[in-house]
Amino acid sequence: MSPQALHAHVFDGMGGSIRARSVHKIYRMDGVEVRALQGVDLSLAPGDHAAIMGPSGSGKSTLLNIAGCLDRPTSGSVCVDGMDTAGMQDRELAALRNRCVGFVFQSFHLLSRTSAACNVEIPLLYRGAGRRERRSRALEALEMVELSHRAEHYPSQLSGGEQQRVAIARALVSRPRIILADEPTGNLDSRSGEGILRILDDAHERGITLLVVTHDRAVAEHAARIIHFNDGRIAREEKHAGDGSTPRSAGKKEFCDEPV
Amino acid sequence: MNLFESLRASFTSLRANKLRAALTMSGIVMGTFLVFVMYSVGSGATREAKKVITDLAPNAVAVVYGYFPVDMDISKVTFSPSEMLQQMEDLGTNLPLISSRFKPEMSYPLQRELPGGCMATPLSVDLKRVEFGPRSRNVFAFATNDNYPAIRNQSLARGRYFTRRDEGRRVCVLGSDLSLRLFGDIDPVGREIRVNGRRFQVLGVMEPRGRTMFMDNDDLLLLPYWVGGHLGPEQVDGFLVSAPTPEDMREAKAACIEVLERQVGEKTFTVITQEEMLALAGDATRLVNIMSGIVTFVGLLVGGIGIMNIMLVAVSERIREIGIRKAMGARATDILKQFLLESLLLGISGGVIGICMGFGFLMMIEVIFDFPPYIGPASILIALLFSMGVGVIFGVWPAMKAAALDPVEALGHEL
Ligand SMILES: Nc1ncnc2c1ncn2[C@@H]1O[C@H](COP(=O)(O)OP(=O)(O)O)[C@@H](O)[C@H]1O
Ligand SMILES: [Mg+2]
Repeated sequence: MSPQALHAHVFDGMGGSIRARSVHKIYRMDGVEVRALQGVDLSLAPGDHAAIMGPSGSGKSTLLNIAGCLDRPTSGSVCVDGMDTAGMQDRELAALRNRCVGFVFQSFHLLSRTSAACNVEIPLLYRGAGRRERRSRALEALEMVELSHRAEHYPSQLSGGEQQRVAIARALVSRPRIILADEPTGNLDSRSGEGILRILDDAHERGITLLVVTHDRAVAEHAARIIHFNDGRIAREEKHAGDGSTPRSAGKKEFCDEPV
Repeated sequence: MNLFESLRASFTSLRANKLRAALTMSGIVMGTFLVFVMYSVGSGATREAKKVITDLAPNAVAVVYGYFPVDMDISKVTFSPSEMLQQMEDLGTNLPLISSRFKPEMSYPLQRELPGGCMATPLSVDLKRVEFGPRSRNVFAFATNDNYPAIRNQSLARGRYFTRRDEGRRVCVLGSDLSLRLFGDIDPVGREIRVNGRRFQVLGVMEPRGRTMFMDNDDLLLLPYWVGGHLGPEQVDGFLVSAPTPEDMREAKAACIEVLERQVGEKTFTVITQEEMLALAGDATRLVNIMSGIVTFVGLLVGGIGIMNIMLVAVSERIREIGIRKAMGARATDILKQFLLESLLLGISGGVIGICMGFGFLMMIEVIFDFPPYIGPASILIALLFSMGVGVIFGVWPAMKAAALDPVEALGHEL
């Protein structure tokens, strides 16, 4: 099976919207308030490809974490995949993260004591998939990032670019509709970075909603929308063709109103 | 994540940190070892004590020279030094091993005043050197009267026991083992042996009786009271009485006190029934149990704090891992389960090792001290439950800490 066919096979599901309404996030540390987000409104339709740029400390990661249900906003509402997360319990958020969202981090965040394949299996472990299914899907996902030949290697035996590709395979393995990447090329040289971007673009091609935080203008230009952050707010948004062509399905709907 | 998967994950994680796991386990191993050994030795000692007491004679009453307050409750004994000194002085003046005012003839008035069916014998104990030809042995010797076989409910395999008609003669009866060791296949009845160098005629051989912890009933020499024990023929260590029923036994005790107080005075001797001996053994058992309890508790703390420490280290070392797992959709319960299982696994493996070491140690005890500890399913179960309990109880807090970690903070955690 070619990687393309695999994509088509894996990403048969649709959906993948994100909508944030006047999201605030305030961190309180030793009586000092840090306003990480101060009223962010952001809508991503299924299949959107957006980049977030902005100075360090402007709240980009915070927004990404909230969009991925890893964190809760202090106020405001967040809908993921049409589901309002406000009233959800921790275990429901965990299930949402498990099924709808894939994370890619700047520092890869692989478990160093297990093989690439075992790392990729982790999300499936928490949805109760059997051992064989986990293994075969992990190998599929590793094939998508062209690393199936390194399945049994440990992270320390892989280059940075390869580690990040394992991390992407791990994000893809649960067939999510959304991928959130926080400076995915930040720790990589430009050649490895390009490989990563190509894989992310591929995923987007197949209909995944992609939100990428980056410092790098060249990385951001892969996206159709570039959102500029400053001081916890969206300063402005650029729309342009992006390198990725128009997403397959870009219908705009109010997903929050859909029955869950 | 199902149990099997969790177990596999825990196992992988423990294997990846062998040294840490080993360190953690050493506490558990020691704790379980102590619990297992204490419990086995304790219940072995209790069993043996009960066996010795019931083996004595049916519904036995023992009278020994020297006053011991047997009615007191051992668990209420105070350990103030002055009281202990006083008690030791009391004992010292009446110490049966040094001197006794009991005389063998006192068994006759005793026998007369006892309830019907009761039997009494004077009893003195001594160590004697027994020789037949080139063979010789050092054995315990009991000096008794002709009631002895009936009192101990033991018949003769050969020959006869001595009676009052033999009075003045140097005669003896052999335990079955002693007979075998001295004479082999030869019939010893009628033959002469030497006891401490003097010539004695063998009248009979007892049926085998078996052994208890403190003595071998069959490697034994039985002498008439007119030969005497270590205090000579004029003094007796005490008396042994057996009664047909428990009620008679209690009456017999009263009769013993009455008769003998007339002869030697109050508070110079001790009368104790089988019931009371068993109760004392029970008290001692309770004391042992309390001590085991303390040891268990200390073991629990030592092993448990070890586990807790290491699991806490494990949690803080693995904060990032926990963050990653949570980001990938692990729920708090998944993390809790993983860490609890890890500490449970540590507990059980430590427990199994501790029990194995305990087995080895108890076998050593058995060989060296000739004391059979009781290793029943209960001791193994208690030791296993102990180690599992330690694993779970002291794993809960670290596991809860791990489960409660905030995923974003955990991911950002630098090691
Ligand atoms: N857990 C936290 N506790 C306190 N302050 C935080 C925490 N996380 C982020 N911040 C603060 O919130 C602001 C936004 O952080 P972040 O979203 O990481 O910025 P960016 O990703 O754009 O660099 C920063 O000022 C940062 O110091
Ligand atoms: Mg950031």
